[in-house]
Amino acid sequence: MLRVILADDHPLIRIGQKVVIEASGKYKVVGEADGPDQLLELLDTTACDVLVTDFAMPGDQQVDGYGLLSLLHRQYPALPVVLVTMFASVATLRASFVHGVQAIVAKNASARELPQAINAVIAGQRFVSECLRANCWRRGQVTSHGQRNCPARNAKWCACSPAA
Amino acid sequence: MLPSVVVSQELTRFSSPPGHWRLCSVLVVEDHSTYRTMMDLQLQKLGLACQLVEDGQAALMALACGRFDLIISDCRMPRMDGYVLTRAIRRRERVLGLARVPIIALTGHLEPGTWQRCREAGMDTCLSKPLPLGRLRDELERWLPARQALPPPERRLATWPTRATLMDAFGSAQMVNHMLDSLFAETRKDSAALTRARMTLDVGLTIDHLHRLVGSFAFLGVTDLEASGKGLIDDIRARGLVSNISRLEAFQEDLTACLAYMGTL
Repeated sequence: MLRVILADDHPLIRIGQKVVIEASGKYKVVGEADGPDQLLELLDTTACDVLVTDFAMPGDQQVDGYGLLSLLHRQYPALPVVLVTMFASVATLRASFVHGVQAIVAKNASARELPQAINAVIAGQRFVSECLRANCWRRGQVTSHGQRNCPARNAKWCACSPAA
Repeated sequence: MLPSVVVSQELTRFSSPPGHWRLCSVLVVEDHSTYRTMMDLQLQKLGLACQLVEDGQAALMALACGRFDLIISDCRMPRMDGYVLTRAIRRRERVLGLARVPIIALTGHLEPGTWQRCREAGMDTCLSKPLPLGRLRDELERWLPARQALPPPERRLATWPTRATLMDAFGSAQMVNHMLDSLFAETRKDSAALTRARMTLDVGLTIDHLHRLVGSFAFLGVTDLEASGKGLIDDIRARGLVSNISRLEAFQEDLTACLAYMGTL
């Protein structure tokens, strides 16, 4: 069973995300944090395979949330991070992938897409929320395939297959 | 024993409280802080919103600002006691033509003649403190409005989640109820904090609470509130709070309307 840590400042969202993540029987939520400080403490003491985190939680010193992502990436470079955000945009996507995030999921789609996103990052692929894929396609910035066909290291970011 | 221990031990004996209680609010008037805290914990456990005040004068102020479905009042308090308060409330109801709100009197010493004093003042029942959770629940069932007595939600959008869509996304009725309880408890806290932040023009706190509120409704698929809330956050960041006050007030009204709908699920 793969271990997931959840971070969101709203208990309703943690309850709902835990349900959808554990529904498949493949994943177990081993810890929950309601802010950046609690998240860092939790990661320090609890081993996990995937982190699912909201973008900007109160208590984060950086207003935009990238400070936390960047810190996480430095401290846990091997830990796949799924970012859930209400402000999913191509700009957010690009910046968060630069800060080491492997998947970006719009908050309004997270009940549906979280399991797919976690499957993708566990398989070493990236994942982009459906609402963003159309935008990325229009701009011609994302390939339709996973890392195999997209030189992610050169391009810095790419999307996993759209019909994940 | 600590009040919280009493509450958790007793709660195991009960099924979950009626869902429509999430839409009800109770005013607690009590000068003793321990009893106030205990009542707060008990009402929270029963899914009810409450406002706590410490004497009759503060209760009249609270009544002038908000609507309550039930008042639970101590009898003896400094400044204005429960009897004077009740007479003032009944007079106010007569003058303004308001519906009669039930008032439960709580007293530390149920002496002969106490109930008669309560009844003459206009209280509906008189109970002695401390009130065990089971007894409180029985009294709430007796005095709170029935589901059908609550006004129906004024608004209902086709895009708002239904019990069926929530069950589909989150599996069981128990889980959906748990999530709705959390939504109501957190939205009450955030709405009150947002109002305070708005009135003190605190941009940072306004954005924090707005973000949290909008996030929870977005997660449940309330797309219209998500869109207007995100637009509002962006605009407060760009143009500040003062020029967005009326928009923020309108958003809070929309939020209340949506919450009233969610309470019927």
